[in-house]
Amino acid sequence: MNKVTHYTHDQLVQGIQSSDRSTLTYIYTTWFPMIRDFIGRNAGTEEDARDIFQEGMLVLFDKVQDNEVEWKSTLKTFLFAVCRNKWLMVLRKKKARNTVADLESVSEIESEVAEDIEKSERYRLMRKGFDQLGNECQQVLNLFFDGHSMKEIAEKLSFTPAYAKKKKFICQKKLIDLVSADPSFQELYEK
Amino acid sequence: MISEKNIEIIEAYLRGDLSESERMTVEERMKSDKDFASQVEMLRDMSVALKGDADRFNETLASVMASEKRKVTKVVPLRKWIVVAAAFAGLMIVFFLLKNSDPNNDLYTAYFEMPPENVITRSDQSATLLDQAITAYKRAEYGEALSLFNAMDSKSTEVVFYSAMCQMAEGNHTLSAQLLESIQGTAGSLNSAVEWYLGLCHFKLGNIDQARTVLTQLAAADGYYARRAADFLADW
Repeated sequence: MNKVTHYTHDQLVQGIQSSDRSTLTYIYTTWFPMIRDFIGRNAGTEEDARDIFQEGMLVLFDKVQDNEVEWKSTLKTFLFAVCRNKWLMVLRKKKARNTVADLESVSEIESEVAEDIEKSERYRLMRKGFDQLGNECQQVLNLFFDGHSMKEIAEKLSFTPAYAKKKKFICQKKLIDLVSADPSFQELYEK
Repeated sequence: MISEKNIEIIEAYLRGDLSESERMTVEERMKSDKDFASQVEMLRDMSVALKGDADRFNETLASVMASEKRKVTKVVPLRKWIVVAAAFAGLMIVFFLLKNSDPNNDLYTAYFEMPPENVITRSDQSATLLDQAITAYKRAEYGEALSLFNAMDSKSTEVVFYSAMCQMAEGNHTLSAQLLESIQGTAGSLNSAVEWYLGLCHFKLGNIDQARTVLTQLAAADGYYARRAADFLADW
């Protein structure tokens, strides 16, 4: 089978949403060098670039979950801005900011992606809480957020509709409690 | 602590199922009740975070990255290497006999990447034009970026450099080389990048001696582009 050498915006979005291996291979082989070169020029190693690329891709993944989002840039530009922003945060932590001349100019899109990065951090916290839930709770919430009705969930899991509804509430409440108890909750939700 | 009723109201609000007055009530409460506002945010985030399969995405991406990394760093055993080399030599003979392809083009393609915009110094005079050019450059609209760079009255070395990059992206390697030569040795922190892309331009244009000279000198220095040049010469 011939390799696809060009993807449209919609094909990329669908490929990311479905974790399609061919799409991710295309993105990695054609976009990663741009991130690696940038971080290489700014006091980072190839491993740093890999970590940042992976984090940036998760922000992109979260963003494409929203089918209503209006893209103000290409996905590639968005990813670069996210990775650049994340690398800047790393350098700030390392207090190496002054040594990095390449990062001085902050474009409009970079200030916009700061919000997307923060949202992605909150989603990560939510998923961390979800992983701590019991199997039954995970099943109920997965089905619910996949768009199944309470009646369908009850049928699939052999519950009564009333129990399915109650169970969903209990699981959501438990997840909210887990997220609220996390040390990073205040920083991410109570500003 | 969140109540079942609150969850129902918030989910209806997030779905857009509330009446105008109910919606306003929720929004008023979000302003006055910090905990309630956090609950709205958490339920909103829950619906996005649990919608897609992030674990599967991360696993697939990690697998792709590991697989592609192995391709680059794979160590081929010696005997296998000899077979591969013989096969490669045979292919090369056929390749040159047929003369229907350009190996230099493959090497060029493997090494040429557009540098991201991140060093342009802004000037007050032409800030708007420059911003527009940078935006076009970042969107990979190099023809448009070039027109905007060309429309600027005064051009810094950075602008000349990125104009040269746009020319390269458009396939105008002669023009790109001329621009890069005009700032050779005077581009400050961009000097290494100028040498690197000038070497690539010469290579692409078939000016083999010039390309080798520029890249060899660059490879003898330190830094990122020096390493790129050394790798390129090794692969040549």
